[in-house]
Parts: sequence; structure tokens; C-alpha cells
Amino acid sequence: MDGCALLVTEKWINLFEAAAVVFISYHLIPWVHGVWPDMPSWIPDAGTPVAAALLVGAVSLLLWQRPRITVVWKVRGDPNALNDLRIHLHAPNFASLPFEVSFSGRPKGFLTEILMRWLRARGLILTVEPVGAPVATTVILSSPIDANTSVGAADYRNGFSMKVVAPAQQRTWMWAKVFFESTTEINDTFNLEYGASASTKAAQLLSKLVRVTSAAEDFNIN
Amino acid sequence: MQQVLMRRVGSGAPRFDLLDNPKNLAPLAFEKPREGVRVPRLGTQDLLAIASFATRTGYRIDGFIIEDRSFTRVSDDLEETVSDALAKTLEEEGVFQAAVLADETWDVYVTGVKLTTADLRTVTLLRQGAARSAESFDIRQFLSGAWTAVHFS
Repeated sequence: MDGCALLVTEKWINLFEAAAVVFISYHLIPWVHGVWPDMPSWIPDAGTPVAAALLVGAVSLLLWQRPRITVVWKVRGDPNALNDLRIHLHAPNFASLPFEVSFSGRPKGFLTEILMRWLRARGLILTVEPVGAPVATTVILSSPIDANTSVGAADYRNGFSMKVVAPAQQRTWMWAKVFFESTTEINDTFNLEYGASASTKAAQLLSKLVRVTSAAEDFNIN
Repeated sequence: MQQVLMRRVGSGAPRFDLLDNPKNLAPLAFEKPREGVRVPRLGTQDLLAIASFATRTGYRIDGFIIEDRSFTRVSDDLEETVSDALAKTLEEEGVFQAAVLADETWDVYVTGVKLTTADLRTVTLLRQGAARSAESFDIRQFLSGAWTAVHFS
């Protein structure tokens, strides 16, 4: 349902752009013919729609680019980003070592900025879920909201979420330190799923426009 | 031991339940994700936030339970030293700075907090919601108040 809504929203934007190109070309071609009457007619007929498409593309980029947020996983003491997560859960504690997870991104375009601001006012959270993995995530600590509260929280599935309280930043914007644990030994690979969510139905729907991605998609436990 | 469970109620404050756990089952065994029931995970920052809330509402911090990265309890001396430093930082700089002190400076987890109420009842709250408290102490009410103030998870 959410995916469908997202697809429809993106298609509407494309449709609007195409309509703008047709509208501009329709009005501009006769004008070009009038200003340069000696020019062979195929030049404005072909060239004007191309110029209009470039113009609409540029304006559209200024107004709207889908918000993208990147999630980077690291382990302590190693500056390199992880391409997958590998954890070992063994007796007696069945707990992994801690990971440092950082979130970054910058909304580009006026409408994108407005959307992010609107979603933030409606409880926008970014979610990380090891889908189907029989583990529980604990947030050790995360970026502060104020002296006593912070953005990271374990959720009711098996992952965690980050409350978005400030405009996105290109460098590290929000971060959390987390570990995973289970009640038994596991030897399997799962997927890490990243997403966004919000508190009202409309915001929930539009939050699907926020694209959250990471190089680390495989979650290997042994 | 007792086990605290948190139950999702819409998008608002969770409801806290308390079960006896005489066989000391692993806390995660009590989770029912499909029913919106889980144990509070209570990471380092959460336990410090609950301790901070407690001091603001008349409790005294008797100490923290400190474990290394393999979840082995550190020596009594180190636990006391870290507990004192954390209590001081909590009071002077707040929860976040105390959590950073535990995580980065001492490289340890805070896995429990020991509190005494104004009328001298003791409460111990451990990570994953394991708890020990006087029978007359309503830990559910205490945690509901703490959650509203600091939104632990």
C-alpha cells in the first residue's frame, strides 16, 4: 500500500514535469518562429522542447529531489564503513560487540526541505530492522535531544529507531551505539531493512518518500 | 527476580507490567513482539536517565552496576569509582555526558542502578527489565513516571 502510494507520487511528479514541457513548448514555439522567421522551422520545432525539458529539469531539481539519508555502520577503532554486519552470539551472554551507526543526508530542493520540516513536526523517525532475525537490539547511547533525552530507541520489532528532531546534515547528523543479543546460538544471514515512519496517517504515507539506504544490507550471525 | 514488561498502547506511553521470574529465565524469553509486548532494553543511557529522573523525584542513587564489554561485572573498587563519577556527572552535566563518560572514558556498560526511596525502600533495576524491589514499592508506577520524563526504551 505504502509502496504503491510512493510510486504514484513519483509518477505524478514525472507527469507534472512532462505537462510543463508540453505547455512551455506549445507557447514558446510560435514565439520563436515570430522572432526568427528565417530560421528553418525544424530547428524551433525540435529545439524548443529540448530547451524546455532542460529548463523544467533544472527547476524541478531546485524544487524537488527525493530526500536521501545514508546510514553508515562502523566498529570502534576502525574508521572504515562496514559493507555488512557480522556478529557472533555465543554463550553465556549471546551478545554482540557494539556498533556505531551514523546517519547523514541533506534535503535538496525547496519542496524537499518543506516536506522534511513537515514530517519532523509529525514525529518522523528513521528505522533499522534486522528482518526476521531472532535478536533484540539495545541502544547503548545516541545523539542527545537535550541533556536528559536522546534520539535512539529500541522498537517493538527487533530493531531500533532514530527520532528526527533537527534538519539533516551532510556529515554525521545523528548517531547511535547499539548491540544485538539473542537467547540462543544462531547461524544464519538476514537482511537489514532501512526506512522512515511518522505518527499521522498522511505523514506515514509521505515518509515513504524519504529514502534511507546503507552499504550494510546483510546481517550475518554465527 | 521480577521481570518488567512494556506493552505498546497506540503511539502513546507504554503500559508497564511486572511478572515474577522465580526460575531466572532470560528476560528476552518474555517478549511477544506480535502482541506488542517486550522487555525494556535499558541500555547505558536509559539506566542513567532513569537514575537521573529518580534523583529529581526524591530517590537516592546507591550505585550503578558496571560491566565490561563481555558483560562481566567489574571489580567492586572500579564499580564504586565509576558509580561515583557517573553520579557526579549526572548531577552536573546531565544524562548524555554521563553516558559518554561510561562508554568512551571507562569503556563499560551501565547494566543496573540501585536506588533507595525517601522512605528507605530499596529498588534494583537491571538491563532488560529485570528488577528487585520491596513488595510495597510500585515499580510500574515509578517506570511510567520515568518513561514520561525521559522516554527510555
